[in-house]
This record gives sequence, C-alpha cells and structure tokens, in this order.
Amino acid sequence: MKITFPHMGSLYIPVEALFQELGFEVVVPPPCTKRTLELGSRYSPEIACLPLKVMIGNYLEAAELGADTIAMIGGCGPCRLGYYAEVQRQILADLGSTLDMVVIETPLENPSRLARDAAKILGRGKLSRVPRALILAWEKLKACESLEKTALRVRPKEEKPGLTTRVLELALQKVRQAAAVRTVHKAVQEGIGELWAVQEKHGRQDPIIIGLVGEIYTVFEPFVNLRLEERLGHLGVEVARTISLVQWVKDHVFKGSIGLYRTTHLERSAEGFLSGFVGGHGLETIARSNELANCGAAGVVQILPFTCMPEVIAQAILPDVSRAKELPILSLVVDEHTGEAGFQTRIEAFVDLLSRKRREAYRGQTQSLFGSRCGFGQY
Amino acid sequence: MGLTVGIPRALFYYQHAPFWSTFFEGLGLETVESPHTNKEILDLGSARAVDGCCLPLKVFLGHVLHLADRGIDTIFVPKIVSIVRREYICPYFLGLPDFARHYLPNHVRILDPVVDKRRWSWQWARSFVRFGSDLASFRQAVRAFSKAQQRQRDWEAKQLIEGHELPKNAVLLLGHRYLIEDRFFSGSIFDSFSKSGFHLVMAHQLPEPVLRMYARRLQKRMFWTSGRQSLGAMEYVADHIVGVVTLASFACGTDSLVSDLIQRRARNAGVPNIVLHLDEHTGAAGTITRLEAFIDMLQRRRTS
Repeated sequence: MKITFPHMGSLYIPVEALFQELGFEVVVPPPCTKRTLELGSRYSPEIACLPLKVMIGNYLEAAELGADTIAMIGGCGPCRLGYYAEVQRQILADLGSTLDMVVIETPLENPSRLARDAAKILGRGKLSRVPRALILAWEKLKACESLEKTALRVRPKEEKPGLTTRVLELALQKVRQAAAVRTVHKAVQEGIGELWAVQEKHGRQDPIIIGLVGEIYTVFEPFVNLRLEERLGHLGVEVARTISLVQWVKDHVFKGSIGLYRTTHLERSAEGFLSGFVGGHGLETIARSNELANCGAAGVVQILPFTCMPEVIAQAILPDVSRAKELPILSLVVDEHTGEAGFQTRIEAFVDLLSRKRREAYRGQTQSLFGSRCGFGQY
Repeated sequence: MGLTVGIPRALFYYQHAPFWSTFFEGLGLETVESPHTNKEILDLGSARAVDGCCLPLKVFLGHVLHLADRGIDTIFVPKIVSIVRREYICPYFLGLPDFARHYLPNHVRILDPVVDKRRWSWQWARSFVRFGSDLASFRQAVRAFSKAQQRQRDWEAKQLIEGHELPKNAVLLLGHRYLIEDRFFSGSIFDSFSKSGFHLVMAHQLPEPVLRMYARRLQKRMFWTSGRQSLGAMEYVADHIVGVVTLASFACGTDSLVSDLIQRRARNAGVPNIVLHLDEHTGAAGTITRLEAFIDMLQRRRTS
C-alpha cells in the first residue's frame, strides 16, 4: 500500500511523517506545477473551484510515481470542500484509475464509517505506533509553521533577494528528515537562527505590515497564490498571516471533532459586519481584518479561489470594514487563468499606495503607529 | 401599524412564499413583493454585486435594490441556515442579510429572522415567533406562525405529481428551485418542451421522503438540501425517464459539483442529459437552439 495525499504548502512534511511512522510507504506528489494544474483541470468539472482541480493533478502525478491509495479529508458543509473527496473519487473512477481513496471524516458525521476507514488504514500499520506518529506529525507541523512565520518577518529585511526562501527551504528539509521529536526541535532552533542571520545589518527596521486573510488553501499553497508571500516580502512588506494550521488543527481536530469548537470570539471581532459562520474561512476573514485594523496593520490582502462561496460573501462585506476602519484592502481572486504579470502589478500598486500613505502619516505625525509592529504578537 | 414589508421575489421566495405572506398577514402587516425578474432588475443587481458571486445572488440583489428604490424601508431577508436536519442550503444563504445590508442605504431596515433546522426544528419555530412578537403581539405571532405553516404544507402537497405516477416520456428538470421557477431564466425551457410531447418533471414534484430515501444510495451524504433532492430524484427516476436537463448557474458552488455528479449518474444509467449554465449574459436564443437539438435527439431515440 503506497499512500499519497494532496499538497497544501508545507503540510506534506507532517503528513508524510504521520504515515511513515504508521509504517506505510508514502509517495509525496511532486510539487504543484503548471502540469499538475493542466492535468487537474482537464478532468475536473469546469466550474469547480481551483483546489479541487489542483488536487486531482496531485493524485494523477502521484499515481505516476506508483501511489495506489489516496488519503483525503471529508467534511459536512456548507463549503464545497466537504464533498471534494466524493467527486474526486468519481472522477478517478471514470478515468479508469485504480487509485483507492480513504476519506477521513469528522467523527460526529459518521462514526461507523470513520471506524471502518481507520481500520482500513491502521489494519496494515501498527496500532502501537499511533501515538508516536501523531506526536511526531504534530511537532513537525508546529516546526514548519514557526519557520515559515520567521521567514515572513525576515524576508522584507533580507540582504540578498531570494536568500530567505532558500534558507527556509533548507530548514524545512531538515525538519522533514528529522526522525525524532528531539531532532525536529533542533532543526527548528537552527533554522530560526539561520533565518534571522539573513537580515541586512543596517537596513530599515520597520517594514510595512500587511495582513493576509482568505481561503486556507490559497493562503498556504504557494503555487496557487503565485508565491504571494514572497512577492510581498520582496517589496519590503512583512506579511502577518492570520491563518495558522496549528490553530486549525487545535480548533477543528482536537475541539471540533468532539463538538467543542465555538466561533464566539470570531463573531465578536466581526460584529457589525457579519453575524456568524458562513462556512470555510469567511467569518475569519472579516474578523481578522477587523482585528488587524485595530492592531495597526497598514493594509490587508484577501486571497480566494474564483467562486469560493464563503470568501465571496466576505469579499462583498470587506469594503465596509475598509471604510469603517480606514484600512486599505485588496482582494485577489485566483483561478487557473491567473497571469503572473497582472498579479504582480496589482500587488505593487497596492504596496505603493500603502507606502505613500505611511509617508504622509509620518510627515503629519497623525498616526505614529501606522503599520508598525505593535500588538502583532499573536500573528 | 403602518409598517410595509418588502419581500424580494428571489431565492427562497419561490419555495416559502405562502409561508411568508401568510405570516405577515397574520401579524397584520402589509407586504409588497417585487415584480417578476426582468432585465432591469437583473442589470441593477449585476452592476452592483461583487464579481464572483452567482447569478441568483445578483438577481436577489436586484430585487432588494428595486424595493429600496421604490421607497420601501423594511425588507425581509431571512437568514436561512438550513431547512432540513443536518443539511445546509449554501454558504451564501448564511450571510445573506449581511450581504444585502452592505448594498443598502443605512435607513433601510432588514428583517432577518433565522431559519435553522439543523438540529431541532422547534428552534426555527421559536426564532420566528420571537421575530413575530417584536412586530406584533406574542399571541398574534404564534397564531400567524401556525397558520402560515399550515398554508405552506398545503401548498407543498399541491405541488406533487397527481397520483404519484410519472407521466410517459418524462424528462427530469433539475436545478435550484429559484432558477427553475424564475421564468425569466427558465421560460425558454418550458416553452421548448411544451410543444415537444415530453413532460418535464421536477424534483419538488416528487415526494420528499422518497427523495431522501433514494439519496441514501449516495456514497457520501449530500449536505446541501437542493443537491440532495436533485441527486435523490435522479436515483429515484433514473430508469423511468427519457432525458435529464440540468439548469445550473455559473459560479454557483453547489451546482458546480452537483451538476457534475448528475451528469456522471446519467451517463451510467444511459440517459441523455444536457447541462445549461446560466449567467447574466445568457441569451435565450442560444439556450433554445441547444434545447431544440436535445429534443430532436430525444425524439429520434424514441422513434428508433
């Protein structure tokens, strides 16, 4: 049994560790490329959203490398992601592919089915290794995230363009190769040290801070968002990423699976703009934008796949937040036709606007805190 | 009371209109409905709405803005989370009142009771009675609610096919009810089929318990009500129909997956099928041409 799974940023590192520790052979799909997307969009429904298409591409490319089983998450709505696995299963079946699909549903949705699927996976692994595998995967997840967050802070001040990305990639690979929790910790410590060393010694110390909100897949998958975080970093912008996979796992896997997850804190932040959960990360987008404005971010970038339902609602309401908080917001919609040049132009124009606004603010000394790093601890 | 409530003739109006009008009548309030969808309303909505949202949402916005332009300053936009246990409508409906509020001037008041039957259906009753008693007395609200519910049930029963027998040469028409029943979009479909000798059957004409039963055949539980009904109907009548027409709206999230599943199911069952994607640029001529070709094909199959 050779197991594979769809890509989402650096998530492949913890997931690979999880299945390897359980005793499976893992085939990590090749990094997403143009070919992945072409393969995916050829066989997917035309108006389905982008993640579905890229994932199909991942599966097909992994199958070429010999994978025979796909691990995918399920869900119970209202967002489309919950039905992805079923549609993808049918697409693959109609293609005549022999790939088997194991869907991990939330326990409350269908306990018996979850037990059956878990048995299907674990039956061939070793049950006694489950705790160890979970701990290692969890540590790797935290490791990747803290490295990436450090990179976001360092990149605007880097000495040579592109250096941060290279150092980050090396550090991530070290985490990937680590086989024990202690080595993971060591790799993170070293990685973070190396990343901070990338900084220019006498450069400017107060980059503009832009919050990044939006749909989780497009935020995390650099191929899909055209390396948005890097682009912003190279323009001298520090990106405050508001979506955290560690937090997501805490909320939705630890708390959510036993029905304890509440969105009250988000609803409070979004009050006056959006009255509650709209699926996906729609509520988060509004709530976090509002919070970012309160802690002095210079601007917010929202990124979403074309026709993403929860994010479209948020996109419609964001101008209200923008007006109320005097916070510039840029919504970027991506799909398989998104071109690099147009994307870059829009980002550059947005950053120009923010830096001009900041210069004026400094001159007038009206908002001395504008876009500075106070109150950003949580991001 | 001099309050006049505007009801946009869009989205769930086509499904819950008897309930809504009876309820407001019972509260002693006057209601005004927006006219049937027309070009002007569609343009009004699609000019203002955020790009990327689906056609029905743009139409809905057009209706709301039309009402506001007519000087009606109380508009009924319920937040319909769910109408069946453990199911959703779609994410747009969860944010509908907030969405509408964004586009309306501040003085317009939105009445947004919550319809949520995800867990307990009495939650919905409670929220409607509470909503009603803000506008009139508690007693009136309870009475209006039960009367409205009765009217709704009667109306729904009347929709079913008489005798529960499928007509001969039935063609299944699937899609969101608010697309199918909005004649501005679906008129050409009904016209094309009326002369053809085929009978259109829709999911809401089939009994709901049966649809639910057949939807259980799906490998994964469908959590969108409309999608579940469509796929359930497909399973139910797949062997007794001569064709399937799916009406889908461009950029509709649920349709993007459901129409694909319907197509695959139809292909497996050997039933001819056509998917018509609608958006604000769709011209009737193109739709009619495609439908005529489809009907020709069905007729040829029937004679051969």
